[in-house]
Parts: sequence; C-alpha cells; structure tokens
Amino acid sequence: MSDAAKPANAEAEITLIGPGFGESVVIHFGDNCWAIIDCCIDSRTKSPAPLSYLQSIGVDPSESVKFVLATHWHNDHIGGIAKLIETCESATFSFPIGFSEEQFRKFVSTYHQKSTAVDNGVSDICGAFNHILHKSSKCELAIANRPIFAAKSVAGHSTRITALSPSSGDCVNFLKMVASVIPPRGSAVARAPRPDSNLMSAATWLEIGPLSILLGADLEETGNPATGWTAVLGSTTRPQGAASLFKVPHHGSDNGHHSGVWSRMLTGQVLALVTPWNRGRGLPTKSDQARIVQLAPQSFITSARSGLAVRHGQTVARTLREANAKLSRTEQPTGFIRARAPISSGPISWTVHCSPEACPLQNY
Amino acid sequence: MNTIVKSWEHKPTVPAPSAVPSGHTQVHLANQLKRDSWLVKKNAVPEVETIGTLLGQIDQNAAGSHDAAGNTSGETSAKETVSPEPIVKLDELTKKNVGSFYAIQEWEGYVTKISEGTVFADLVDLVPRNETRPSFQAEIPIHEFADDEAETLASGSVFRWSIGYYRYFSGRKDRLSRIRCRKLPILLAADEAAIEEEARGFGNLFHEPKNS
Repeated sequence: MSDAAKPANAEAEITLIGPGFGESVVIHFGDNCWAIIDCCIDSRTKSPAPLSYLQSIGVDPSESVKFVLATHWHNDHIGGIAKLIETCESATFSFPIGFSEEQFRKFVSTYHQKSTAVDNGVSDICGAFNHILHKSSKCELAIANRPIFAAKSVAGHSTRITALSPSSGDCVNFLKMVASVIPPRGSAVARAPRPDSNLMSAATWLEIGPLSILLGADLEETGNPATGWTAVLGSTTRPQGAASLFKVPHHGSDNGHHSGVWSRMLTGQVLALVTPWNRGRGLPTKSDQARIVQLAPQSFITSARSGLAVRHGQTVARTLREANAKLSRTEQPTGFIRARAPISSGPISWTVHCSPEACPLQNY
Repeated sequence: MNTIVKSWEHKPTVPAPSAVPSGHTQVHLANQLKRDSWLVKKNAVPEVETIGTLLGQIDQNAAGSHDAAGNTSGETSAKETVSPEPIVKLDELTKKNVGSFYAIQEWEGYVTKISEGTVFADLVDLVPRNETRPSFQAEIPIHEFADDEAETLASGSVFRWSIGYYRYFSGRKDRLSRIRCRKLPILLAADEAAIEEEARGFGNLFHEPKNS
C-alpha cells in the first residue's frame, strides 16, 4: 500500500484510509505505538486496510497497535474489524456506550443468528465481540467527554483520546431505533436494517503532546441541543483548544456540518481530510466540496471520483442490458492521505503525502 | 419417491391431447412423451396394477401413439392392463425434458428501496473469484421479479439473482435471468433462547455493563 518508512519515534502520524469500503484512521503517537479508529476493507487485498497499511511500512500490528475504536456500527466503518481485533493482540478496545446495552446486544445476536450474505456489518461486530471475549479483555465505553485512551508519548509528552460523543441523547435515539427493528417472535428476520442517520457515532479529540486533532467520525448535526455537533459544542467539559487537523465528519456531507465546529474547535489553517461515499448521489457533493475547500484550502480526499470498473462476461452484460438493470461497484479504489508532524513544542507543521488514488479536494 | 408411468393396452377414455386442459404439467409431460416416443419401451407386457386416474390418463395419452393397433381415440375398453416393468420414471422424464439451469453469475441481493417501478438493492457477488466478494448497488426494473413476489417485495427483502443458461434435454438452451426472493427465516422461541444467551455473554465484554 505504501513504500514509505515508518515515522520517526518523535513524529506523529495521522493517516486516513478509504474508501475501499468505508474509512479508517491510523495514528502514530510516538515510539512506534499506534492506534486505529474504524476499519475498512482494502479494495485490492480484500483485507483490513489499516493492517495492510501498517504492514506496508514495516509495523507489526500485533505488537504496535495499542488501541482500537469502532466509532459506530455502520459497515463502512467496521468492515473487517473482527480480523483487526484478532490481529492487534496488544490493543485495548473501545465501542460507543450503546454497544453495551441489552437492546443492541440482542439486536446483534438476532441478525447474526439469522444472517444473510449481505448482513450490514452485524457479523463483523459479532466476530469482534467474540474475539475480545476469547482474549478475556474488556472494552472501554465511549461516551461524550470521557477519556478512552491515555499513554505516554515521547519526550515527556502524553497522548490522550477523549470521546466527544455520543451524548446521552444520541444513545437514547439509537436504542429506540434498535428496539424498533428487533423482530418479534414468529416474524421473518430480514437483513439487519441500515438506518439512514448515523446515530451514536463517536467523534474523538486526540492530543499527542502539543498536537490536537479532531476526528469527526460520522457524527451528524441535528439542530437538537441534546444530540450531534450542537451537543458537542454545548459541552462545558470537553477538551479545549483548536485542532490543526480535522477528519471531516460523514464524508463531507452537509448533515455533518456545523459552522461552530470550524470557528470554535479548529485552527484557521486547519488541514482537512475527507473520504468519499459512493452510494446514492455520492458524497461529498459539489456543494460540499466547495464549502470545505472554502473553509480549509488545505483539504484532501482519499480517492478520486471514478469508481472501480464493473466487468462482466458477454452473457451477463447482455442480460443486464436487455433487462435495463444498472449495476455499479460499491467500492472505490482504496487510497490514503498521510500527515506527519514532529511531536515537539515548536510550530505545528504537517507534511502531507497522498497515495496515487488521493487528491486535493478541490480537484475531486 | 419415484412415480412410475406404465403403458396401458386399453383404448383411451380421455380426451385427445389437444383437448386436455392447458397448464396441466403432467398432461404436458404426457404430450412430450408422445412426441419423444423412443422413451417408451415398446412391446411392454401387460397386467400388473392399476394406478391413479390422473396418471392413467397420462399413460393413456402417452401410450396412445404406441398402441399396436394404432387406435388412439374414441372407444372405451373394459380391461385396463399395465406393464410389469416401468417404462420410464416420471422424475427422470421430468429431468430430461425440462432441463437444468447453469448459472454463470449469481448475486445475493437486499432491497434497500422501491421507487417508481425500480428496485434499488445492494448485491453481493456469490461467485468466488480470487476469494473476493465484490459488492454492487443495483437498480432493477420491478418487472424482472415474478409477479407474486413483486407484490410482496419490500425494503429488507432478500433475493438471489442468477444469470445463466437453461439447457434442455433436446440440446436447446435459453439465456435466462432469474430472480427468486428468499423465504426469510422465522424467529422461533428456540432462536430467542440462543439469542438471549449470546447477548448475555456479550454483556461480559464491557467495564460497565448495563441491563444484563
């Protein structure tokens, strides 16, 4: 995936990978210690993309990954997470707090026991749970304003990851949704439904020494003071400061945008990273692209707009044509954007490297 | 279980094939048998048993063309005799004459939305290619589904879409696109017990389990 060397011990790295199918953030917080937030599948290797990336730069994930967080259960964020958790033997794990609730555990078990080939990520969650049980590990629960990971970094600096969401309001809405889709006895079990909204997504605030980074996950803005970005901004106990790097939430979508985030949580020269979403009308849209580029001239996207080609034999292609059916690949080529900066008290300076699939957002 | 079709010596009492109600599969089979006369063993020895009326009718139709007397219509015979040996097994007959479907491409699909006569679905490729399982999003005209299935199709429905060739025994083959909705599993009391147990076990994962 990358022919680069791994970062220096005193160098932080934030690499956004996507969207083979989904997205993942790989973080180096010093001394060859790593964290991974979310997981996606590499379109080439069909294996978890963060593992492919780490191995390509000479990092052994089984020893060096210390923390794994799944921000929410949508399958574009948890694809391959069972394999990731199995591999990262030295890591602690974290899930949003709603994962511990009885309704969600029953929901996962129900759809897992009656799964189909297209199961919406339930088998990944179940696999992850079973691997953690097998290791006799425990999970940290991510809820707004709770630190979920802390470690020493280099030169006396420390690393801390704090969950900014979900709020209690996000959790209530999520669990209501989950309860409503658990089928009653005697009814048919269809595929696990995929809700349109990204309820209970865990946005995080990452501090590596003097560096602050905002990872927006898929947290959306609802206008409700108890949920979404409004709840984050309204919190008096969240970590303070301005982030110099921003993983733009929800693939740059308008429903993940809150102007207060840009004005109150980010520096003026923020480096913005985006992954696209290749379904429906696709994300980011042209207007999303224009909005983000205006707010952050230094913004990059992990994959260009062109999707993977659909190749069928003559017979299948002819049949599809005659049926007037349209097929397109869900995945796009997996690319990454790597940003590195020294962990020191001097001026913050990110060095950005884009894989061949990635590009500046203005060129998207 | 195999059903045995036997030849009859008597003159048929049923209408000629053309008068048999259409759409009756077994009668069609009989007509097919009549055309493919080589399937029926000639010079069959009579007298073994009598079989059901319908099959008898089929047999009569089938055997009519092979009647030594060449008498295939009109009069009723009092004596109905059958061959002691099976001339052809119906299962075999069905298999040979109906043919087999060979899939070139198969997907499992999941309906995400139905709008203006179009079914929007996520598809997973079920044909192994280098152990990958690419996924697609599809827009399929609803008339590609069987009429009865189209009526009950809803978001969440699971189906299998196969494209391939239907090869007939005669050697003819037709290209075919076939979509079949999957009958979804029913959640039973026994399932609930297993679900409860697994869900309870997952409660041990968390530092602060709730409601467990």
